[in-house]
Amino acid sequence: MSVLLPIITNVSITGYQLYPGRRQQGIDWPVLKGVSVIAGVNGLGKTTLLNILFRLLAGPVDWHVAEGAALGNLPHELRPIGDPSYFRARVADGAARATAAAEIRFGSTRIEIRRRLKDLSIEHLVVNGRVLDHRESTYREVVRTASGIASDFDFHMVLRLVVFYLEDRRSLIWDRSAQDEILRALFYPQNIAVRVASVGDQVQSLDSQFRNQRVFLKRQEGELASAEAAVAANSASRTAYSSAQTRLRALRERENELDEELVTAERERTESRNRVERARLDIEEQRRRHHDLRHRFFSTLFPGIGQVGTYLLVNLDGGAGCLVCGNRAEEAAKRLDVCVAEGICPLCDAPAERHDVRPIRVSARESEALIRVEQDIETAQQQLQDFETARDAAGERYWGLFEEQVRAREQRSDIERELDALRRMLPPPDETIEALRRVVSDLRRDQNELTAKRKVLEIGLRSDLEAGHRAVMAVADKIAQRFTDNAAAFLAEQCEITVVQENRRFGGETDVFQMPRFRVSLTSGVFKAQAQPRQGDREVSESQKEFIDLAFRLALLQTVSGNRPAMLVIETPEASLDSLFIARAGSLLGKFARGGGRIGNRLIASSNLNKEDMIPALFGLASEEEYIAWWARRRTGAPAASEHAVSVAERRKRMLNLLDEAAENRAVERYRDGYVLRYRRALDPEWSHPPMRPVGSRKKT
Amino acid sequence: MTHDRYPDADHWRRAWLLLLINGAARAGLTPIEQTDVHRAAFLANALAPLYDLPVENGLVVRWKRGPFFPDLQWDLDRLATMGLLTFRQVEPVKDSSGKWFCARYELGSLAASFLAATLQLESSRRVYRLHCELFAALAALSDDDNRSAALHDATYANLVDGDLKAEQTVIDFASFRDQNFTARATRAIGESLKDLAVNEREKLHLYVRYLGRRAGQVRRRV
Repeated sequence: MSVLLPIITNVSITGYQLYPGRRQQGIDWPVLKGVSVIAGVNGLGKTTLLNILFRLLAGPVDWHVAEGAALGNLPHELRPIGDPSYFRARVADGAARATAAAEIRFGSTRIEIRRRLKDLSIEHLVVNGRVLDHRESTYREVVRTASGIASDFDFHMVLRLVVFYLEDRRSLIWDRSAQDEILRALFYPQNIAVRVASVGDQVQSLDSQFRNQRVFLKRQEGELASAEAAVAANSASRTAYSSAQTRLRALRERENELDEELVTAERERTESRNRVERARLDIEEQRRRHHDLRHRFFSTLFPGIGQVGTYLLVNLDGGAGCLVCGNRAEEAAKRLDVCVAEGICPLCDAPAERHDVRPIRVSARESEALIRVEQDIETAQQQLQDFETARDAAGERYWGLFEEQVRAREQRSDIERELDALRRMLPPPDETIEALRRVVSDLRRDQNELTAKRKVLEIGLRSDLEAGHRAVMAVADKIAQRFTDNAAAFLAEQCEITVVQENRRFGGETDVFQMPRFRVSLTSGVFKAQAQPRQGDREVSESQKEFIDLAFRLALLQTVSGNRPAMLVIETPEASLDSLFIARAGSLLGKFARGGGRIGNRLIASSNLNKEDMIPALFGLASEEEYIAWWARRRTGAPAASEHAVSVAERRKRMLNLLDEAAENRAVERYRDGYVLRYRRALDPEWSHPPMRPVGSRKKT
Repeated sequence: MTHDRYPDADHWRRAWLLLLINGAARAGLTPIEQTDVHRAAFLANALAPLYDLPVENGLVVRWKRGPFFPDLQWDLDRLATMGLLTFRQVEPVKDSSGKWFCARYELGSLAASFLAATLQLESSRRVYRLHCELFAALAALSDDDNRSAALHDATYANLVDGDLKAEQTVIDFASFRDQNFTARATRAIGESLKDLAVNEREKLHLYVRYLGRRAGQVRRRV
């Protein structure tokens, strides 16, 4: 059974705030045979409307394809739609009551489907007048049967790669894996198309399993080899390990002891330090008492020396040291003591009899008190020395233990590292080695089984691909011819495609299979005489890349549908067309639209009213330049290029004017008159009518 | 504690002390009594972390006349006989704590050139800023509150190191251990006023003002 492609013959949208419709009843748009245009300006919902058409057919599912990359060996399965809120998010009421309905035809099969726009679920499904349950699975089964396309995945792919040419389209002719897939879906016998997809997925999956498992196997083999080597060197390693363990135990015990000893040493160090501090203050107190007792003596010995001088002397005498020179040796105080005791002048060493002053005598009580204080100071100083010695000893002990603790930690760390290294050298237990051997053996067996399974599948796959290959080759010339015709409309350069055999693998290490693929050749400013093969889309310009891809899709559509109806939905074709080619492109697309036999093809294009030349071209009008040249020569009829032009009345029926149907945005509110003028010019351009005669001119006879 | 640009610890200790007396002089608090020098020296050490400075002496003993550092007293008198400080009003006194020689100090004739050389160093300038701010904050208190402020400091009056009335309790806040309650208190001030983004200077003034208020409360209660 050959493939039938879908056409949409009617679209209606109700309850969706984006399209209130001119009578506030939504949109009800019959898609007539031939060209239909969705006209609007930016932001009015052209793309959303095209997406509604796509989702009416495709439902709430998507394929697993990464953005931008080639299709590659993608899994042939669909998943729930990536952005389920696409239609909900565009309106304030969350599309709560919005529905979209379409009448879809696959040859003689007529499907009426209505979906809720909030979640794309089916609300109503009628096939050839019979109401069916509105499950997605029912709809898909109907589509598979009616289209002759082997699987839901293939139908989705055909919509994306052939029927819909939207802004987010993927490359087809430039993507070799995409070519393989679309040729399989459209031209392979149905049962073979299903099998190739399914077996290809299985081969890929087996290959992937094989390679993942091999990574694990290599690791296990490595571990087994190390374990078996360790068994050979077992005895020496075990002795060294045991010795290191003994040393580690001893060191840990010593560390525990050190922890406790350090706590004690720290306490002793602090206490002895505190004793020293207190003793120093004690001495300070004793000196104050001594100062007091000596003050009267010195102030009478040196009455003119003043309080500062006295302060210096009592400090020196009290044993604090000489504040004049900083000498803190005990001899300084002793000398002063001798002077005081024997009445010698402390400055010139003159004995008392030569003095002309007589210091008051120290009373016996004072003398006793002085002796007691001096004894106390001496005792306190002795005690201070003892405390300082004890403090220093406690400090040394503390720091000694601290250093030992640091050394012990370093040694422990060394031994632990040594143990780690030795542990790695030790063989694992016998049962572990045995288990490893079993794992390695099982994995090797699994690897062989996976390879054998894959080989068997590849034999069947090769046979199916050969059948598919023959089916593609049977239509290859037709595709190539139609491509050449189509490309001529878009490009000034000569462009052709030829079928070549290229290698393909279904996985990283699978067999190689020959696939028929189309390769593009193109003349250029440098190669004028003969078209040169282009290996990829980087070898042509950006616009050439797009035209060649569109020409290829059209060629596939034309080949697969023959004289039966088909549909192409194309988003703003003018966006990538050079203005000089707009008329030719319009003519080519118009030519496609005129095909499709009695039921007729549908070409649905969206177009921006800011670029008004595209719409007349789509309706088959010759270009403005051709009309001007025509009017210059003749005054009646129309240029030959307008032979298939659609009448103005027909054009009006075939244009869905979003200026009237869609919710007004700011731009339309503000500039409606200008946009309406553009719409009228696009519908019926002034240059397609005979020019007005200048006033007063006379008609020639 | 030593200083990287001074030949030995003695030199740096005396420079630090001279910077302290200089702080008092700038706040108009000289001649300053020796007891007050010791109290200010203790506060300067306890507040050093606030200015990211090392603690010069992290050990203090609660004595009957407040914080007292025997080595600092020796340095103070030596600076005075060297001409960097000057003795004022040296006299024997008798008070509730007993008889002793009371001395007051102010900057000596040689101090200016020595300070100018010392302040060439950034690290000395940071010490200088701390000492000036400390005395500026103390000067804002009444004489009585100023004199008693150090006795109510969080480190000096802490209960972790024993009974407040027990004399000769050794308080180690930055010698063998790091337990500086004063620094914690200034951090807490910063955290409680984080919306105002108070700087180190403002924290110091707020803390000293708190000490003054606390000293006043205790005195009135007594």
